[in-house]
This record gives sequence, C-alpha cells and structure tokens, in this order.
Amino acid sequence: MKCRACRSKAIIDIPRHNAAFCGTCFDAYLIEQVRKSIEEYQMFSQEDRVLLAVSGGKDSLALWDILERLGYRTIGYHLDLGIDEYSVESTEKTVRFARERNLTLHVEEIAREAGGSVVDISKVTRRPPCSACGVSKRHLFNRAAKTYGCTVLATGHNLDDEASRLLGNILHWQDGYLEKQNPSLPEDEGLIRKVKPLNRLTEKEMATYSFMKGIDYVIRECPMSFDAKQLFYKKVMNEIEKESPGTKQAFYFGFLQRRERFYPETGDKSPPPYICQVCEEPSYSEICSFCRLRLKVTAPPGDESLSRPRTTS
Amino acid sequence: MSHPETDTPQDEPVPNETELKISVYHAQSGIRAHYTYRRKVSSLLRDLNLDPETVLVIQNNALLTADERLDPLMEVEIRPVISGGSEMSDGRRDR
Repeated sequence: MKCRACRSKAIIDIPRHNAAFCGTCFDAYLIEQVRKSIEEYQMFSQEDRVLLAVSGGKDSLALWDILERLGYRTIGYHLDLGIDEYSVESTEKTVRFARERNLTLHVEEIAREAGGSVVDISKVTRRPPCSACGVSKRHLFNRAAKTYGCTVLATGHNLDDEASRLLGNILHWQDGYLEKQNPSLPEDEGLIRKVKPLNRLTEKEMATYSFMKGIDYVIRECPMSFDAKQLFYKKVMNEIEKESPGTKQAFYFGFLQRRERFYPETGDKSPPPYICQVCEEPSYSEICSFCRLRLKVTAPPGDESLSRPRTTS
Repeated sequence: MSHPETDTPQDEPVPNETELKISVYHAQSGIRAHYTYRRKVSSLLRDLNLDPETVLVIQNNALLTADERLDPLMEVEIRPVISGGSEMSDGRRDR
C-alpha cells in the first residue's frame, strides 16, 4: 500500500477518506485535523490556559503531545481512580510522560476527594462504575481548571467516542444530552468551557500516532468498563463502518450540522437554581451530584441521610 | 479464535502451511500464542476474527497495513485500539 500523498510505503490505511499515508504524511494529516477542529469550533487560542484531563491512555497523552507541538499553554490533570493495578499503571505512565517532557502535571486521588475509589463509590451508590466515575470527573475536572487558573478544559474524546455516544443518545432519545453534544461547550454558570480537539480522528489514528511518537500509554482496558454500553455501541458502529466506510463520520458531523436546528438556542436558559450547600458550586439541587455521592460514601454504615454535610480529609 | 487449516483463495499458498506457526503477542491481555502462519496481515486478522480498524499490527517495531506480508520468524504484536467506558454525558445537569 502506498501513501496517497508521496507514494512511499504506507503505515496506515484510512478507508473513510479512501486514503493511506506514510508516517510523515500521516503526521501532517493528523496535526491538520486537530488544528481544523480547534479553529472551526473556536475551542481556544494561544492566550488560553488549557487544562488537559490526562488518563494515561493513548488519546489524552497524544493530545497533550499535539497541543504542545502546536504551541498552546497546557497544564495536565490526572485523577487517580483507585482501580488497583490499572490505576497504578495509569498514574505512573502519566507522571513519566510529563516528567520526560518537562510538562506541568497535577495529580489528585479520587479516594481523597470523594471518600473512596471508583469501586467503593459504585458499591455504595449502587451506580454503574462508569457513572460514578463520570460524576466525579465532571466535578473534579471543573474544580481543577478553576484552581489552576485555566480558561478551558480539554479532553481526549475521539471520533469513535463521539459517534458511539451519539448513537446511544439517539437510541434512547436523550434530548438533554443531544442538546449538549458539541465538541466545544461554552463556559456556563460556573462550568468551565469544555472542548474535544480529537473529534475528527479515530481510535486507530490516535493509536497509530502514539505508536509513531513512542508514547508509552496504558494499553489494557479499564477493568470496570467490561460491560460498558459505550463499548457495545462502538462495536455496532464499527460493523456499519466496515460495510460502508465514512458512515461514522457522516453520522456524527451530520448531527453537528443539524444540532442547532434540532435544538435551537431559546435564549431563556436559566442558571442552576441552587448553590451547593457543601462545595458552593452552582447546582440543580441543594446538594450537587458529586457532594451527594461523597456524603453517601463517607456516611457511617446504616446512615441513609444526606442532609448533614460532612467533610473529608 | 479460529485456527483454520486452509487459507482463502486470495492469499498465496505457503509450503508446509499446516506445519508453520507464527507467534502472536496480544498486547491487551499479555497472552502469547501460536497460530497457523499466513503470509498476509489481512489473513491473520481474519483467522483471529479481528477488524483491521480496531487493532494495530506491529512486527519488528513497525506498523503493518492489512495488505502487507508477515515474517514467519518474527513475533507479531496485536494491539487493540478501542477504549471506552466513560459515561461523561454532556447533558444539562451533568455537563
């Protein structure tokens, strides 16, 4: 297989673009895709301080590498989820990546912030692990961005993540989620701007980039995600893509083009009606989702009450 | 995972094919196994029931595309690219 651009030996085949690239031309293609997303969706500028949520996986570490190459001001933030060896490896690889490149990284532990690991939280709250993880990440990422003086929060979600999420949201007609499925969510009532600069690139493209750049990332899957719905939706999307290359991209970007028509800005958006009694962040209830979760996890056995705010060390 | 003894017509015949094995390292599970040697990456992936879009195929520290030939004497790494599980929604309450 030859590179479409220079005719030398290809290292990756990209059926949805009917293209194949050598290492050098693939690098140029990938950087251009990220640059295009950042500009088209007005994600951030050179003046912004970008907090990058870094898990230790291929996407977030590669994104950090790319944003540094493009000259953006980044700060890394890693949340240790307390999932045994998986989290130990994730934290080690993230710390090593930052140290080798002399990048600023802040590490926090979910056990310290939420009162228990993702496994503990899942057990106590009876939520699926991915849900407990998501609630904690949303709160702690937002808090970290404010703490470290960042103007925007970037995550490593790729095209496969976004297309599979879109499929799940449409299958269940999750209007609230569909309305907000946007690669660039503006700052809103205490919530910092959130962006996804990898939304044009697939998992395979990000893994290829990480391999090419020698990025040492966590290859194994999170042990908590073995039955995650999102993995099933990805499998379904990949089956469709195999039969009809380009469908995944057309599905996702077709939705983005129509999103405002489906969910027009009404201008009557009301801010969250409460200030959380515990963390004092804007909230849709007297105590926000994360603090309720934390209170449950740290409550003495048998105590079902959530009315008494508690603090953890 | 299947271990077919014959290959598809489009793959070139390999002498003593049934006796020739190739070592495969599954990077996600850490398992090493031996499979019937196929000359083409696409044939090996078909045997392993893997979609080329969901894995990297690495041999001799180089990425291989589906149409490339495998060296029977060198181990092949199969590295899945799929990640997921996060349910970070973008909904109003839990953005």
